[in-house]
Amino acid sequence: MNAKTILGILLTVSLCLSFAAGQAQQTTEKFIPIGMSPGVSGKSSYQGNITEVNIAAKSFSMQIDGDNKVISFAPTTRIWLDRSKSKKSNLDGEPGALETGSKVEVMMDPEDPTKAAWIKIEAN
Amino acid sequence: MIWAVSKSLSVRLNSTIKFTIILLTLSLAACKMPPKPTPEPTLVEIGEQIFLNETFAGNGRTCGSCHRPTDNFGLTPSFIALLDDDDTLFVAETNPDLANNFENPVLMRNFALILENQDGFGDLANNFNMRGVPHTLAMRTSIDSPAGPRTGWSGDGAPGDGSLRSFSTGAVIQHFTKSTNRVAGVDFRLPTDNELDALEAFQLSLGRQAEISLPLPLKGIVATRGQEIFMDNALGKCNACHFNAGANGNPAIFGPNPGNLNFNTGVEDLPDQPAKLTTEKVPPDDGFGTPGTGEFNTPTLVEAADTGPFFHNNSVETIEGSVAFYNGDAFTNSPAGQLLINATGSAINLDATQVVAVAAFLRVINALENIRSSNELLERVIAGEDRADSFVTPILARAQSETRDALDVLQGGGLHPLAVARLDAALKLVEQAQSATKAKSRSGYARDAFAEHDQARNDLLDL
Repeated sequence: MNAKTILGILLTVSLCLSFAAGQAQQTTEKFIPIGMSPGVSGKSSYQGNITEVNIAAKSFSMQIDGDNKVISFAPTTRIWLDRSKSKKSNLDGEPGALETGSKVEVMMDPEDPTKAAWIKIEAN
Repeated sequence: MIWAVSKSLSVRLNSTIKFTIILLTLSLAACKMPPKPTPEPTLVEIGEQIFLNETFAGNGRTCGSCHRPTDNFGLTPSFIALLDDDDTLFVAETNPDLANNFENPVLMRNFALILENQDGFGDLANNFNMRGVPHTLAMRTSIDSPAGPRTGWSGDGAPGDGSLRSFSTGAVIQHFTKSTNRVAGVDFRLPTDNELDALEAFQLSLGRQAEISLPLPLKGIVATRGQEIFMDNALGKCNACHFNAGANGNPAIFGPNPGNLNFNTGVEDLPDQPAKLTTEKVPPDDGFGTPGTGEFNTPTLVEAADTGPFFHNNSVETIEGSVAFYNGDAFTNSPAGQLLINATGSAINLDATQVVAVAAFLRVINALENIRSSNELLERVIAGEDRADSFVTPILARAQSETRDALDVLQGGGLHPLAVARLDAALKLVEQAQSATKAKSRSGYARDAFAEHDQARNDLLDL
């Protein structure tokens, strides 16, 4: 196998790897209550209460340890309604479910740290 | 007279000595030796207990319900056929709350396929995949990659941080739930941090802990030729993606430390897949991510020959068939197949004898691994001679299945009849160890089985 061939393979594989980086399985994440995501909650996610919502700007602010942080979301951001405290099944949510005062947990996208990968909103 | 007196004295002395000996023996027997303290369980042992027994307040299943220790920590149709109808594997048939959209009993019983909602839980009736149960062997060598751990068939099996540790959480949610509502605290409880640590430790302890190094000095001429084809980048080309017959990419091709890679090899495009020959609903599986890329995880090949059926959908039954797959249109026309053609100038094009030779190589290295694994288990039995039956019995069961697998794998390929005979002898010794009532006898049989394994290994390798 010559160097050009090897380079071709490397470039192809690197493209595959770049899309694959950091993707955990998000489907069962839906059913994990706020604060209980293994290896994430208390480590790399944010938990707090929403202080302001700007749907048009696709962002909201939340209080984290006394600081106000602005979180942006994208069409690809998963939004879930965490109803586990009410002993109900968690649901897929929409940005409209983001409300001032709501408790949320946010995991930022490792591919794009300015955007949320998923948002869990405590709901009834 | 002196003689008579001496004889009488001698008789009395003998009787006294005998009586003393008897008295001493009875005294010693009456002494109660303090029992040896049971050693503290290791993290791996704790993990094993959780893996096999913990139901997480769910539907009764445990990790071991699908990852069966004596089925190579996987699940095959032949194993399923021997289970009782009330086995926890069959909860979809016994729990009315799981009767719909949780499993497909026909596909489970016939093809060992398990239902997964890889792309979400929004439309349970239509949005699901049917996948085989992957074994959990040699994961210390097979799941790491620069892109993060690759768990499950599509390399994205874990929630949270995506690690093997977090995988168990996703598995509980998908497979242990009492109902399809999947409410934490109602339908199941989530594993604790300590439980996740123990489960990870146990799973990583299973099977090989290191890569093998090819080429091996094999004795069989067919397997030797198969190894040559396997490693030939112009012929079999297998070593490119299955470096050293493992699960990782070849550094010479993919760069340093490529780790485990995902590929779209076209398995989904295979015609006449067994599950799809039924009238059951089997939606297409788009692999990694949502929406999927069509890519699936590269599995190890050392463990392959005795862990069929093969590929994520159990679509190919035999190791010969799985090698032949790479000759066919499904692979050749796939993104991975096209990549290989562009890189090497040609598709894989092995003739029948070459397919069988590669399969023979895979059978032999699998048998070698089974021998190694069985001996490792027998060593634990010998070292734990004074441990309770509850400790030893499951270990011997696994040793028995490893030895039987080695025998079956060689016999199935018509390979190494002398090694097969030795493995048959080893199997009988393991079975005698299982029936032994005394620990020392059990250890003795285990040692003898160990020796037979070594002889069988010597028949396979030119050491």
